[in-house]
Amino acid sequence: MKKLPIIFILLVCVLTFSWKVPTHNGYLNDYLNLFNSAESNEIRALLNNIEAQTSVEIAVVTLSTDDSITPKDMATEIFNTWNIGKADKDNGLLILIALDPLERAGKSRVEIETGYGLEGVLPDGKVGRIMDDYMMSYLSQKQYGKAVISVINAISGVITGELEINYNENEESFADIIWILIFIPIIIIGAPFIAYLSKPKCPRCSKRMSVMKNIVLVRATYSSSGKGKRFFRCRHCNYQFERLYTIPRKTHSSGSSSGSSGGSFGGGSSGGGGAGRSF
Amino acid sequence: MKKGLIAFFVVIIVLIVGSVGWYFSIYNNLVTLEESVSSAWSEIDNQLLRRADLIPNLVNTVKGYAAQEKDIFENIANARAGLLNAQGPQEKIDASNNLDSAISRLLMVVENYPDLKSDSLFIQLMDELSGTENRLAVARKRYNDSVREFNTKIKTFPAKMIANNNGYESKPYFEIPAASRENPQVNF
Repeated sequence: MKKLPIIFILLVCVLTFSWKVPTHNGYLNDYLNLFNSAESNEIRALLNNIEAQTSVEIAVVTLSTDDSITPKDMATEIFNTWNIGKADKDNGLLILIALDPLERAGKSRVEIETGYGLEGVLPDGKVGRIMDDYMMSYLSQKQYGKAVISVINAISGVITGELEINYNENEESFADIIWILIFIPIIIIGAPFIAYLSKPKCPRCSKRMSVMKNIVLVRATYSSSGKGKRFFRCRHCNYQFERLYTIPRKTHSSGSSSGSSGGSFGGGSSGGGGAGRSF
Repeated sequence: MKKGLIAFFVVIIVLIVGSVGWYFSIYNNLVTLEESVSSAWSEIDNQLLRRADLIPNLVNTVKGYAAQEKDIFENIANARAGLLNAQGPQEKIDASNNLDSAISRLLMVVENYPDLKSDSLFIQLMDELSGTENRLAVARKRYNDSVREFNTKIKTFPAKMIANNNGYESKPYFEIPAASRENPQVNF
């Protein structure tokens, strides 16, 4: 048992020293020059377009396979070093073509890795299916550019909901439905109860009072909170009083705040999801 | 003489305040490290559960083509039940390794059934299973990293004293037996 940590550290050292994550330049990093310039331009345009429309960041990488690291580990390392995807959404996706240097059949591999935020729209099974239907026939003919363009189009179709993929849903949803059935009555019963409890008691007859009206004294802005006056009335004995309350500061509805122009990644991470195929 | 005495007390007070602060900073550091170990573990737990959830579907699909391989199905069912019943990291690590070897035996059998290998539901389930394995590998690496940091901390001076006083014990690494490192892969 004592020896194991040492072995582990050695293993990590071996892994980190023999293969290094390359530096990136934009969304498309075709280190092997597999794509011609027309294909490269089309891929870049597609990726920029997807980012502009959905904020999803897709990186395309071509590399040689390496004996010291599996293509899947390569993909995960690249993903989490470049931080593909927006930090608050983890909506990155990596398409890695790891080509066997001798191009032997069955030794090359394509990996599509999904960030945490895309696992819902693109479960592993669906990713595999998309690869089978839109990519593998091109790859087996070594038409790498066509394969990547076709799979990017399919993926963006799935993300925007324009493309349906034949996919067998797992039966997990049953458990979710039970939770929903339990929680809805709790919320329906609980919300008015909490609202009732939060009303002040009448100082004279100690019954709950009701709100007559709210008057805004100072409007809330994006930079400061506002103030208002709330009038309460006891329905029982007609006692009335007023109380000041604060109006919370306005917030911008959540959206991508980063105005980064196409090319740099937004800080997303992945836990190793996605699917891969040998070709 | 009086000045000397005051200076002496000042030094004593500074020493006491300093050492109390030092004690708590190390103590808080230990708490943080332990917390990161348990959060890394909960991700492993997630993936173990997710894998256990996938297995009945996978077994049913395989049964459709290879109903006669009864032993293998029974092994998998037992290993899965073992994983679901396991308590605490060490038991779960062992149970997960058991399940690994049961799954790899199933996948060896699959090679004999070409029709099964091209079944679309089977392909999907295998993608989900290997996706879960990959996530598990990432979670395992992150867990082992945080365990190594925690264990090193509580074994080295001065945190060692504080750790001993507060009953901190070293955490188990998630090791996979050498035999199952070479899982037979079903290649599509």
